[in-house]
Amino acid sequence: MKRTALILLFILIVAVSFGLYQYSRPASTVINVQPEWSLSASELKKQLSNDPSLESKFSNKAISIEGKISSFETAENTTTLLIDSSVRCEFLKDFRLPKELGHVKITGLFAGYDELFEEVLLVKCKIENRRSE
Amino acid sequence: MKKTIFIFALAMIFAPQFQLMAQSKWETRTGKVTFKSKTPIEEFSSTNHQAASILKVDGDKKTLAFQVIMRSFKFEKALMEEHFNEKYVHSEKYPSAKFVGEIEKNVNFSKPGIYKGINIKGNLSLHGVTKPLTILADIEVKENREIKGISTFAIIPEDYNITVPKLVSEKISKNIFVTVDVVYKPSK
Repeated sequence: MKRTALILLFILIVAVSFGLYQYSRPASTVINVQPEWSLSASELKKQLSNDPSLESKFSNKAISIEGKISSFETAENTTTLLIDSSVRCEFLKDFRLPKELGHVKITGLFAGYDELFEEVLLVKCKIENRRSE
Repeated sequence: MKKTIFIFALAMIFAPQFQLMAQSKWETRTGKVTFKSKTPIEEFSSTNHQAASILKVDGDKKTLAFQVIMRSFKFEKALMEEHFNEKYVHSEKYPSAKFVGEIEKNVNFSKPGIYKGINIKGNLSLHGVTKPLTILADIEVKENREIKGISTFAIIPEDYNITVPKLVSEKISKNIFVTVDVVYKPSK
């Protein structure tokens, strides 16, 4: 009897802590999953402008893109790199801009397609590697 | 020959002015959009730094277009982020919110100045629903030709078919306050 009570108590504690953990789990700021697709920045843009239905398919999926940094913008807690004038990548917090703005490979979560600028937006990005041209 | 040079010189002098008169465009890719919900029980807000917007001045017509990708809203808690995207705005089906509007009053964008309470009348598309929306904005035309715009307005999620489950309805306010804060740069 005592044993059953103890087991039940244990299960209850585990359930409550799991619930509390789930409830208070901070949102991630950097992607931590393996990319499902890997392609060039301009190819990703091309695919989306040809087939808008891909926006739902890619939604929240990890994608790696490659290309040259066209421009960058920084604001509080966020930096945005534009790659090959076709993909915008948002980096949060501790991002340090590469010394040389060359060719980069970036993994991020697909957020959507911006029709105003005709650019793809990836969020929670990280730089995979850097190689100078 | 002299005449040709004269015409060419004239064209060179006036070309830039003509270009300015015809149409001007300003843009930003990193506008800030924040929404806030406040009830006695819980208060929360979320910010997006990826709002894209283009401001076009064509003669008397001043139009504004905004696109905000829902998945770029940032949340403190992972659960909030999941619920926002999957249960409320359904980001997979409706990835963006859009606003297209017209600036009603006479704002002179070609010289520095501050304008308060300017009416912007347009349509907001959110969660697959498009509704007319008029907002009040403060606009500042800066010395360096940049344009700063700020506006706060309220939207009712129900109007856009966003349903809040009964269980949490006391924690989420009926009116959601949205603040848009943008700095436009002249478009090249």
